[in-house]
Amino acid sequence: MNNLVKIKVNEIINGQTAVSSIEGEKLYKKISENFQVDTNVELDFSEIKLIISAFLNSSIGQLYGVYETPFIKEHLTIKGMESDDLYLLKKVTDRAKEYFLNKSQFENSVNEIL
Amino acid sequence: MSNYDGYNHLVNFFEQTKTIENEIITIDFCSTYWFEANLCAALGAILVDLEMKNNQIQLINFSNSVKLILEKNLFLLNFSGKSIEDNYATTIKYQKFEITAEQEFGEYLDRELLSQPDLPKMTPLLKRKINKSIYEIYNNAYSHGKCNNVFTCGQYFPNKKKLYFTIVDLGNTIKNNVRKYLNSNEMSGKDCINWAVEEGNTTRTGSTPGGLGLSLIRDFLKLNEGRIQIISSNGYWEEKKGIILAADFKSPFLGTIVNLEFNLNDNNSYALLEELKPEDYL
Repeated sequence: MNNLVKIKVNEIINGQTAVSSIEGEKLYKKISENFQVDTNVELDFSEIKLIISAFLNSSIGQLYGVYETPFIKEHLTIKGMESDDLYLLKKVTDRAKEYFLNKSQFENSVNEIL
Repeated sequence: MSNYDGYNHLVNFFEQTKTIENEIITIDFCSTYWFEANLCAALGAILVDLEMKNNQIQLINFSNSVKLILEKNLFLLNFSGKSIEDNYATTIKYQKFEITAEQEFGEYLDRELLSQPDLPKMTPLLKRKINKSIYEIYNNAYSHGKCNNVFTCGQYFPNKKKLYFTIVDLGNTIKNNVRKYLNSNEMSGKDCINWAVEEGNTTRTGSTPGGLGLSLIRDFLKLNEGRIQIISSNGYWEEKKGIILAADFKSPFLGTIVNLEFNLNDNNSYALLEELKPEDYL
């Protein structure tokens, strides 16, 4: 069984409003450094009062450009998120999968042309 | 007013003044009988831009009613005027923020909107949705506009139970970003905005996905029966109750104005259609 690191999101962003893509980037780096050594991550949002898509795009959406979906599902758990924010997270992750699929198809087409 | 004609006046004013440097500019309000206070965000952005070009701004000949509202919302205080107490608390103060001052912006929202006792009682979820919508726009100004400052102002209309909140930046326009991304110099200002507001469309090309912020606001405002207006470059775009109105101005505004109109008399529960399982959201 993999190690588990529990991350309180409010401690990473030094606040209770997750509204900045810069702060999201900090969380992304924290998650990513654990994923690189095959460590599971639990994100605790229970102290967070407000989350917007820009934060989730940079913190979690960005993971889909580096890791496969099954890997993310196996290594990441979300705790303490309001139900409407879970719905937002689903929109963000669906969008991220589509974005990186389109991006790789676009890059493949360019490589073929070149 | 916050409509096509009202914004057209501001765009024309921007066009007439944008090349002036090192002058004293006197702006005469003698023919202005009504000025919707939220539009101070746009006028303030234009005036600050003129001040940056070493101009001195003088605002004169206000009608009593216009002067009163611009003193209450602290707009005139920023341009050599004074301020007065807003006893009925219907104004959301005019303020300029550095784009990185998110904490200060959050405190402003809390003070002016969320903890404002004179606004009608809103459900906690409605407050959250309003707050999120405003932050999404603020973040767009940073990530797409690449600007240094944003200008904000709002107005509460007690009879209509409507709240207008306007955010303005003088950064990259939607037209510039979309034309560059799509490599299409033929697209008009309104067509570029129309493209940008569709879910999934984004001009981002890097490692962070996007393309959700505006569509989330549109979804919310449809249920809320509110309105969103976007002015960027020469494009004008608005949506109310699912009906889109779009047009092009004759001249461009070198930035982006977003006005959000919220219906505060909204008791929607915003219940979700389905309960998500953990395996569904990643």
